[in-house]
Amino acid sequence: MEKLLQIAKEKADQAEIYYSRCSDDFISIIDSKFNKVTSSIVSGYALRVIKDGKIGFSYTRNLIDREKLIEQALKSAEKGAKVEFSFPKTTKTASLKTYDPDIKLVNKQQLIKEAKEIVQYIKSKSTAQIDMCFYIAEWEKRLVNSAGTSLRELKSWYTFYLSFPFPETVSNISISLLAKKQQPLMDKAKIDHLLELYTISEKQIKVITGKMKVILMPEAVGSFIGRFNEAIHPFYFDNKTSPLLNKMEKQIFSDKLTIYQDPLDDSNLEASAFDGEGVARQKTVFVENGVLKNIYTDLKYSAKLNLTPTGNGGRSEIESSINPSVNCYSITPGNKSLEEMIENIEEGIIIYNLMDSYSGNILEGDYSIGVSAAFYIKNGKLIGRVKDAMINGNIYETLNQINAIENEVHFFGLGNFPAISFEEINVISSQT
Amino acid sequence: MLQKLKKIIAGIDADYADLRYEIKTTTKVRMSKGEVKETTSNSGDGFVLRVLKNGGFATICFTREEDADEAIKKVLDNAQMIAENQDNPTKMAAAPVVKDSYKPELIEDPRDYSIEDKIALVKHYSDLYFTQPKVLDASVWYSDVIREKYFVNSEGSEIFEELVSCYLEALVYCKEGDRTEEGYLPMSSSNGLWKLRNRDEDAIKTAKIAHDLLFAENVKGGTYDVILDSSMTGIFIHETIGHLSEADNVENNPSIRQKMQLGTKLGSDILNIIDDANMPDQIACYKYDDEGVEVKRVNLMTNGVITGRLHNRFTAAEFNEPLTGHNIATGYEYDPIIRSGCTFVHSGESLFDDLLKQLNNGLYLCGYMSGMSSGDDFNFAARWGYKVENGKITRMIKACNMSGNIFETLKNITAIGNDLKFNEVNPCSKQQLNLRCSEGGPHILIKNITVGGNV
Repeated sequence: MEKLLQIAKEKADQAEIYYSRCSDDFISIIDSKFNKVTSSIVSGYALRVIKDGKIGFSYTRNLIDREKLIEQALKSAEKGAKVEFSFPKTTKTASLKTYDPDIKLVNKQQLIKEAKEIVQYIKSKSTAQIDMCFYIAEWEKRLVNSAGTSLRELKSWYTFYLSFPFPETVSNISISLLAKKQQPLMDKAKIDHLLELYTISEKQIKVITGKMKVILMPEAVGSFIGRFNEAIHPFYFDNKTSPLLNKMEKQIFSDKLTIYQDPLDDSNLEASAFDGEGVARQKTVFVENGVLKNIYTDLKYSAKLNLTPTGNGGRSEIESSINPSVNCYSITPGNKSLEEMIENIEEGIIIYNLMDSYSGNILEGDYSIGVSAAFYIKNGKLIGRVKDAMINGNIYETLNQINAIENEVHFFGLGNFPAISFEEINVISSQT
Repeated sequence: MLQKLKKIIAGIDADYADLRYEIKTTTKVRMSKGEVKETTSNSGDGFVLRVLKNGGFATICFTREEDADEAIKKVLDNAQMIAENQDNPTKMAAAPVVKDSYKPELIEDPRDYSIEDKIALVKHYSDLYFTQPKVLDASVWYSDVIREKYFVNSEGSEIFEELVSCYLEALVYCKEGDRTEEGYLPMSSSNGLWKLRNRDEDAIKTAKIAHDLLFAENVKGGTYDVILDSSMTGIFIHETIGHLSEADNVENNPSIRQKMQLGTKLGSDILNIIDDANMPDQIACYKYDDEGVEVKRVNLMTNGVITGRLHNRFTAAEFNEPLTGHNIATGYEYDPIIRSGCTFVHSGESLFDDLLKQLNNGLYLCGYMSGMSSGDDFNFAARWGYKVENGKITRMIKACNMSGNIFETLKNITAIGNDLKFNEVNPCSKQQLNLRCSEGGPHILIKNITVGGNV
């Protein structure tokens, strides 16, 4: 890397090299049967240069011809975009525990033994189809640039998913274990709760179209946050199409809602100390008690919008150019347990998963989404699985009608979210 | 290269092994706000090794040749682990040994054009958008992807195949007051640049839809009879029968497998569905899949009856059905999985005006945005639509979703148009994002669809 940087510096005004290496195993067990193992050992280099005020990009999976890689980046810069930023000199980043060296000691025989014990335990109680998977991975990423930045980070993941597909469908309910090294898998209380939901799901209920009380579980909350995430993407502030363009310091959601990112919370597997362009990541509050406070930016949009970079220069893979992104969203917990939230509903639905969230005018916050895993609540109890229903509305109206927020958060995909209970949401079904 | 690959797998102690090496070269041009934002041209490469040992199957992707020994050890250990812990050994259907080198016939090979030519093409559409009313911004992006794939297996197959994909997509933003609406233009080709040219009419239509959506109304949620345009028909069929025809999706789900048995009547009498990845101008076109099997046209549904399924060598053995050549990887970073190629509804006999008359009152839903199914239910998003009153198209409606039960809905298709068209870009996200799949169909009339909206 250092040799490449040296040559690149001689030919360009500024240079940056990003390296990543990943080794992983994905083990799938479908319908209680060991299916296959898919693994990878992949690495690569990405180079960005700035020359005559223009930026260029190139990448390779095999660093055999350094000169060619540099030439490709310089050629890209010739026709590339003008930039108003410099690669940063980052000397200090947070010290995070994102890696546990014990990940190298994963005992697959132990993993198999525990998986078989789980299958046996579930089969003694239910006829549910049992699907499981493990993802075990370790990553290294490094970033050096001509300003003198030299950063390295290691990550390890040991994750386990257990799901029960509902009969005649791939819709399911699931639980997960997310850790940085091998952990015992069996959590009987969680498995029993999942089995209880599965039993309830055997009774199917068709709801009648209308407005009703709805609880969104964390994964479903993520669909709403995904729409907010689009509206605070700096691209839409730069081209002036965001609906939140003139809403800074204004109330946009219920005052019960505080949304932030905390990439430095290393209990979150997505935590990291620096972003894809070497900017130190930081905790950033986007919405405080319903008031819009900040958007996220990378170096390019920080310069364009005259904002301080928030460490959100996302780099999904070696082949990808930088795109601003957030992967550690959090919502501040409320003061009600999930049980209390359910008990307080006479009639309504609780939605665990939605189907096809990418729909409607996402930028404007519209949603029109099918439910995948949802249950009907009657007199404070779940009584059956809701089939064939959709929810419809706009997040800037719905997130102003929050009844209660759960008093704990749960990690999935986009971040740490609590369940949220709403006064009323449009629910549409074939029954009127 | 084929000789090098043969040497690597020669020493592997397994019952079966195959190795694919692929070089993927991608050229991109992206413009927004009328300015060039990115131009790049790069290559990446990597290996995918698959082994079957004592009935246990495992795969590994690796990007450096010097990691080959480590990769071989890891994949063999994993295959052995599976073999020791499964009830029934994995079997492979016999496949012909193939020795072939195949390159598609191209009309305007993108490699013959400079980056300046490609910038000019993107700029043409970008400039066009900024002449349209209420357009605030337009993002237009071009890419061409050249995949050079080398495949060998321990049975003696040696195949080289080149895949050439060209894409041009655009998002155009119109604004009125505080409201922004967008229009999306997809274009693609697997036989050259020609298909991305002379599409001004399509581009202008995209901008007009974004403009008109500013003044469209929200639909009232409820149950409607609907006409789907060809893009919605295509996505409906891809997400429902397309995915349910992928044998790996039903193999290990006993209740869905039971429902999807060949010979079962699932659709209306007029419904015929085909998967054909042999059409040169469709993006899903290829000759061999990523386990060296030649792709076949498959009649998935004939007069409403399930008549075919899409396979890899493992599921063909499991179901005891013919090989179809549908085991596809998105690139060198992935092992192949079963994917539909170009799935479409065969044309019927109805003229569009006849469909409107038959519908009489209902909705005309257009412009697929996304879709998903869960084995029994589906949910699809339309970018825009229209009310149909007394057999005439009247007011425009904003983006909305339609949902229902797959099997009830397939029986509720009561008329099929005679105007088959294909979608050009549908990034199917089954495990790995695949840009080389497509689907299509004519306009179709469906009874009793639930449509999301205000209540």
